[in-house]
Amino acid sequence: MAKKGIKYSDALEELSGIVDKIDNEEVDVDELSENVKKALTLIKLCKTKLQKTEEEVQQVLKELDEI
Amino acid sequence: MNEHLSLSELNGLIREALEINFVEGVWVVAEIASLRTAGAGHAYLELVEKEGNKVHAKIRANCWSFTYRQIASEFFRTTGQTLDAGLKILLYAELSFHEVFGLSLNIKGIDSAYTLGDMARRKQEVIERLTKERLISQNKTLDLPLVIQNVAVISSEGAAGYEDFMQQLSNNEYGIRFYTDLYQSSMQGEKTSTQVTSALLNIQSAGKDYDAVVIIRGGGSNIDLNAFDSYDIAKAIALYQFPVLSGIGHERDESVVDIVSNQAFKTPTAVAQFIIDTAADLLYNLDQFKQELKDLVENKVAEEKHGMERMVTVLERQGYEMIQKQKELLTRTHQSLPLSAKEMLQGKRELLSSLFSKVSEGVLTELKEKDKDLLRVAFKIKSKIQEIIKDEQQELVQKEQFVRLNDPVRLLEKGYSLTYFKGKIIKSSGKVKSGDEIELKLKTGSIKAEVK
Repeated sequence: MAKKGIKYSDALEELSGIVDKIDNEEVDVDELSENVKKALTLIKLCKTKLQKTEEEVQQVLKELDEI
Repeated sequence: MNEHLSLSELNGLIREALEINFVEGVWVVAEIASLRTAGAGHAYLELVEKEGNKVHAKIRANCWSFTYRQIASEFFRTTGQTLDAGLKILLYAELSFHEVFGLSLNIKGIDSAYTLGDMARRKQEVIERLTKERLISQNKTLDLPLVIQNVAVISSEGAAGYEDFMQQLSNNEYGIRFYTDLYQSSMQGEKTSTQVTSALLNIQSAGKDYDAVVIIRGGGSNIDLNAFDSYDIAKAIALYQFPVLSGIGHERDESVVDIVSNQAFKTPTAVAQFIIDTAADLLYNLDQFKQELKDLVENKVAEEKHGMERMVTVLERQGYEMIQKQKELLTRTHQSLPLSAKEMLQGKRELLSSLFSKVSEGVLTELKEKDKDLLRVAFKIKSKIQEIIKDEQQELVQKEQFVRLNDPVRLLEKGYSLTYFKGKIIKSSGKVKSGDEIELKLKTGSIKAEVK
C-alpha cells in the first residue's frame, strides 16, 4: 500500500473494479473475503482521509501498515 | 507701471469667458483617475485621458452630494459597478471656474450605458485575444480531482466573502476536513490585477500539491469587478497548473476570470458548497460501494448457502433413498431370514444326520468289511489250521507207520536189543570201555552186562 497520498480517484477506480468483479461472478467465495477486506480498507482509508485531520490520517496509515 | 489686472480680476475674466462659451454643460468622455468622497458626501474626482500610461489630459471634477448619490446608484444599477478609479465614463458637466480653486468640472450626470458599452467592448477585446491565443479554455482542460481537499485561496483576509467561504467549509455537515492556505491579495481597486497575478505566482512557488486554487472576492457586492476582466489575470489563470475556481460574485454577466476559470460560481459560499458537495459525493459513493459490497456479499453468501442447502437436500434425499433401499433390503432379508435360517438349520441338521448316517454307515460297512475280512482270515486260519492239522495228521500217520515200522519193540520182538550206557542209548562201541556197566533192553526185560 502507498505510504501517503492515496488518490481518491485511484481508490474509487479500484473499488468499482472490485465491485464489478464480484458482480460479474469473477470472484469465488474463497477470494471474496480477501476482496471485500481490500475494498473495506480502501473505503476506510478514503473516509478517514476525508474526515480526519492529517495527523489522524497518518496514524491510520501507520495502523494499516501494521496490519 | 504697465496696465495690469489683479489676479482676481484675471480669474474673473477667465470665468466670464468660460461662462460665455460654456453656457450649457458639455458631454465629456474621461477615465476616472481617482475618486474620493468628503464628509458631506460630495465627490471629488480626477479625470484623465490616457493612452497606456501616458496622460494626455487631466482635469479635476466634483459632484455635489445630492447629485452624486443619484448618479452613483443609477450607475451601479446599470453597470453593476461602483463609480471608481479606472472606469471610463461619459459624463455631463458644467465648467466652473473658481478664483481660488481654479478650473473644475461639476458633474451633473453620467451616461452609464457608455461605461457599460466600454467595459463590454474592452472585455470583448480581452476575450477575443484570449481566444486567439488559445488561452480561453486552457484551465478547463485541467481535471478537477475527485475531491478538492487542499485549497489555495486568493482573497483578502478579514473580508466577508473569505470568512463566509471558510465558515462554510469548516462547518460542513459531513465532517469533511479541508485544508486551505490563504494567499493575500486586494480584491478591489487598481492593484487587484497585479496582486492577484502575484498571488498566483506565490502559490506556484510554494510548491504544494493543491487540488485547486480558489479566487474569491473578499467583500460585499458593490466592489468593482473591472480587474477581473483584465487580460493579465486571465492569462495567468489560463496558463495555470492548478484548476481555478472563481467566486468573485457578480450580478450580471461573467467576468473574464469566470470565463477562463475551470469553474465559476456566483459567490464564495457557492464555491465552498461546490467543494463540499464534491467531497460529499465521494463520501456518498464510498457508502454506495460499501452498501453494494454488502449486498453483493450477502447475495453471494445467500447464493452459496442456497446452493449448499440444495446440495444438502439432494444429499438428504439421496441418503434417505439409500437408507430406504437398505431398509427394504434389510426387511426383505429379515423376512426371509427365519426361513433361510430354518432352512439352514434344517440343512445343517440334514447334513449332520446324513453325515452321521454316512459315517455310521461307513463305519458299519467298514466294520462289516472288517468283519468279513476277519471271517475270511479266520476261515483262512481255520482252513490253514485244518490243513496244517491234516498235514500233521498225515505226517503223524506216516510217522506212526514209520514209527510203528521202526518201533524198537518190534525190533526187540525180533530179537534186537537196545544198549544203554548211563541211561542213554549208545550206538557205537567207542562210547564205552571195558569195565563199564551197560544195560541191554530186550523184548522182555533187560540185562545188565560188563564190557570186556
